[in-house]
Amino acid sequence: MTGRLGALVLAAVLLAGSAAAYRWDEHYYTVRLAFGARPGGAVGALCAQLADEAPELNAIAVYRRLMKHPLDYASWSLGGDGPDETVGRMVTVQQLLHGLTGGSPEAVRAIAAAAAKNVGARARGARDPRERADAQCALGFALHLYGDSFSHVRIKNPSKMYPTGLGHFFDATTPDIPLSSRARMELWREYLATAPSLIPLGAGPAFEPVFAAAAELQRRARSGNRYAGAELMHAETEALEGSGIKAALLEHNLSERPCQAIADAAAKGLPAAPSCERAWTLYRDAVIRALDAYDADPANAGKPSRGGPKRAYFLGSPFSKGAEW
Amino acid sequence: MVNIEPHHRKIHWKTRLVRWALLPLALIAAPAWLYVSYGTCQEEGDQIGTLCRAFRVIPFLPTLAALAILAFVAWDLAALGHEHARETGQAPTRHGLNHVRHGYRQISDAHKSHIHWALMTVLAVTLSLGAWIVWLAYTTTH
Repeated sequence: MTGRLGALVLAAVLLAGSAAAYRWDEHYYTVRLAFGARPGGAVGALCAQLADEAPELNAIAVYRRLMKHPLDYASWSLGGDGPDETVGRMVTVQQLLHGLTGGSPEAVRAIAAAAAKNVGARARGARDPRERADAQCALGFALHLYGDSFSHVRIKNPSKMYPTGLGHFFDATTPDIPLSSRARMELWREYLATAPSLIPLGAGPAFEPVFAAAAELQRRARSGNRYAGAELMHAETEALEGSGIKAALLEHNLSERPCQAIADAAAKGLPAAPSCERAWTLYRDAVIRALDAYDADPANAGKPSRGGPKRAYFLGSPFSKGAEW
Repeated sequence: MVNIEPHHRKIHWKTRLVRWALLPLALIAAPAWLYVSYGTCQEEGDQIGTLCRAFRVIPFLPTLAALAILAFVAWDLAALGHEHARETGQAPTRHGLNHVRHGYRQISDAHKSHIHWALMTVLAVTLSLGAWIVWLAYTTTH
């Protein structure tokens, strides 16, 4: 018995390198559904999911890596600041990609929408397949932030996002689960209904069957059946297949392969594999521009983009040192 | 005449250990708990909830260790009290707690003060740790 418990603890600690915002698959399916038959769906969905899968971009992985630098971690914990290479990386990834700002959800949503429109226009205008794939991937990142602007709203105070650093640690996985409560389901529904408007060209696909299934499932969603997550995923898969789209989820990245290795493996059969580095640079510049524009608008004074102290973002590459820094 | 010095020495090093080691260990245990729980508790799985509840004991492990050491101090006092009662021909008592009380009366004021400081350190560290966790939980969820 003791041995089994020990093995369980060990397994949990070893597997605890990464975790999700909306569940990994939720990001993937939503973005895939939102694209419908429009071009770029495969790359966009891949990168929306990559934000949680790749160790360089995963919100939890970067925080745990910061903890391996005790002095920098102490500086962050006590003063909310620290070196760019460590604290800056964590803050940049958590705020710009996962919406863990401690600020207003409307602000994060507006910033994500502006960034998505910017990189989406770029994807539409790109002639070179590689450039197009990079911009589509950047759009996937923007849609990830947009999704997290709903899933990372605090349960007990919906006017605020979860903060940078600990995020929703004290609420465990509940915020990520669309059917964990009626309020969360409404947020998820709003996310699904509005995400297609951020994708260039054409109208959104029909989400009605998914919404109908979700409403039905929510009535019997319990912690014991993991809030009917598997059934919801099944409804989303059916909706995709109904639209003639063959969707392939990434395997969860338990081996901690770097972003580019995951992207290359997942993009087989596509015109070009996106570059994590270039897509991130495109996305980061677009989202910082959108954030600055939001902060500069006096109309947004009551809905701050960030809750805590504002620090400059890390402009280096989150991939240059790989998963270990 | 009971030789009190060996008892003084035992009490002295144990209370010093509690006073000097508890805070540094608590400062290590708290981030260690965050490190272990932060990834695990945001994963999905049947056993994860149980595991995360079990992990909550991690920041208080140094406190539990300190309490164990203080229990040994009480044991030392009881031994001293027992020895003293035997020496003075008092009626033996069944209650160990009475021996602890007798033993405590025998030690010097300086050693009584060591015990008080050790107890205060345990109390202060435990309350601070508890308050910090409650504050962290509140400010990140409300």
